[in-house]
Amino acid sequence: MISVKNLTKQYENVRAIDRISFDVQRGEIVGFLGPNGAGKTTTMRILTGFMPATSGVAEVCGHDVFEAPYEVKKRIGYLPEVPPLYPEMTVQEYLSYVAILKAIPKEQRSQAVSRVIEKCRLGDVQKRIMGHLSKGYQQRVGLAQALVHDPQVLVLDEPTIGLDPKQILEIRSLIKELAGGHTVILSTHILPEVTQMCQRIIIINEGKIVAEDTYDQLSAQFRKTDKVELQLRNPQGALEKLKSIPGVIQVVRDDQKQGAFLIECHVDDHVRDEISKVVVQNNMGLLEMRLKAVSLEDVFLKLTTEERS
Amino acid sequence: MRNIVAIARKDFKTYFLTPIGYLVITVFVGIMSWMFCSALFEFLKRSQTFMQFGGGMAEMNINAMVMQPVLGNMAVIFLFLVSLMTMRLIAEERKMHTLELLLTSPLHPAELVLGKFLSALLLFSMMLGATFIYPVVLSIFGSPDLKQILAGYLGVFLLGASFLSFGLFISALTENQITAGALTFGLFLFFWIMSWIAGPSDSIAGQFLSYVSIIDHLSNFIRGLIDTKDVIYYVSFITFGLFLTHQSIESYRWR
Repeated sequence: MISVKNLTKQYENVRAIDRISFDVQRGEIVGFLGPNGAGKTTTMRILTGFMPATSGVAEVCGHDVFEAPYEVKKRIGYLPEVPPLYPEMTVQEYLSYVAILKAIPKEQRSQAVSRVIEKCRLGDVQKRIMGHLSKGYQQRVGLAQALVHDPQVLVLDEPTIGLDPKQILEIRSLIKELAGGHTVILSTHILPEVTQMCQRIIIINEGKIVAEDTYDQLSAQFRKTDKVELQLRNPQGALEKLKSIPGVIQVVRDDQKQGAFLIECHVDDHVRDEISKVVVQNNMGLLEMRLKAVSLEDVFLKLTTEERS
Repeated sequence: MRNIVAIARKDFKTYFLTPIGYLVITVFVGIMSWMFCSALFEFLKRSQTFMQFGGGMAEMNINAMVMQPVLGNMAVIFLFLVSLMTMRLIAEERKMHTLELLLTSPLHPAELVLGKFLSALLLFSMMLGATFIYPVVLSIFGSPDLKQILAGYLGVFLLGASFLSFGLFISALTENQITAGALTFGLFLFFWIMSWIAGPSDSIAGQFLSYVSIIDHLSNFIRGLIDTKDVIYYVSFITFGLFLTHQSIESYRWR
């Protein structure tokens, strides 16, 4: 659906993106992850035809973004970082206006507008002026604007930025509903968001793609050791006994919680097996034992800071 | 075409969703009516004097004494209002990030430029249309040369359109509408003053200035003379302004 090859954008003296290549399949939700200034917005602006690339090729739905911008723009919906709203217009007026701009045939326009109003749950505010809406509603109108022509590809730049937790949940569930029907690329720097919504993650740093895979694969790749959280009722003498288990690298007492330990060990199920045996045999009173997964934060920090060193 | 109409309609409506539309119409029509009335009363006073003491009636010309100065002043008053009408047109789209919406929609930037221009032109036509009451009033009292007046209106319309196209260009240069407004105002003030210097001079420089000066081309129209030279001057001025607007929007994308 989307195919990007060796895309480069050179600003006056900054190279915003440097020969990036990736593909997105039909119906996929792909997360674009990276620190601020990594080149996410630039990539999206090139894909949507807002600005041309310095070199490289970007194709959307089989059409070259630069050669056939009209065809691409008809098939793409774009929500920029700041939703493009006219504060003095009402929601309905605005969406009808966008429907014309997006080349929807006249007889289908009103239907398309009422469809997105329903889809983005804007019914209550459709007659209100957009300047008076809350940030959450404004973001929903922004999303409705991107959806009005039922595009095959949706490009969302930081769709949850600046929203309160409840609004974030609403927008997320809305985006998840779109999966399947649309191919979605969304950028964010909120890590849990990607793991919740996206099937695939592209991590970009300083204009280059540093990793591209599913979350499970990425976290497995960076899981060199397992971390086990343990809480005991009788922690006396546990530290030495745990340390002597073969495969355990390090045991740290967690001062925050009574009788809690953090065990770092080799990636091997048998080690955990051993730990539980030792705990039970010594009557330490097992309260909790949990494998701590490698968080995307770890992966992200590792990737984006390793590059620099 | 569909996009041009949609954009023109939307921006024309926006004039009246903000106070700007009401403001420029009120100021323009108010000041022009004041000027028309004072010119008309002056004319009536003089014709009364002539009637009492006789003589000089042949020199009394309602066109020359009322409509011509009013049309000339119309251009100047409009010059002061142009910046209010054009400053937000593109600057605001940039500031509100709605230019991103427009440029990622399937439309050509030229359609955007034309739509914006038409919206301002429509408002200007309304302002101009409201002043048609003056020749109507004159026709009730006497018999002014309507063809001459219409030629004058054509001139003012072309001049106004030239102002608008340049104002639009300046609005495309910045995302701050106050900057755009101040710049437009200053530039047009200079255009106006240019004709003062050019006026009396017979030198080549003077002739050049008078040709370049946007207001000087109006005088023929006001005297009822439609010269192709002047029409071409204004049409090329408008086209050039719109072309520059288009280029600056394109360059914004390439930056």
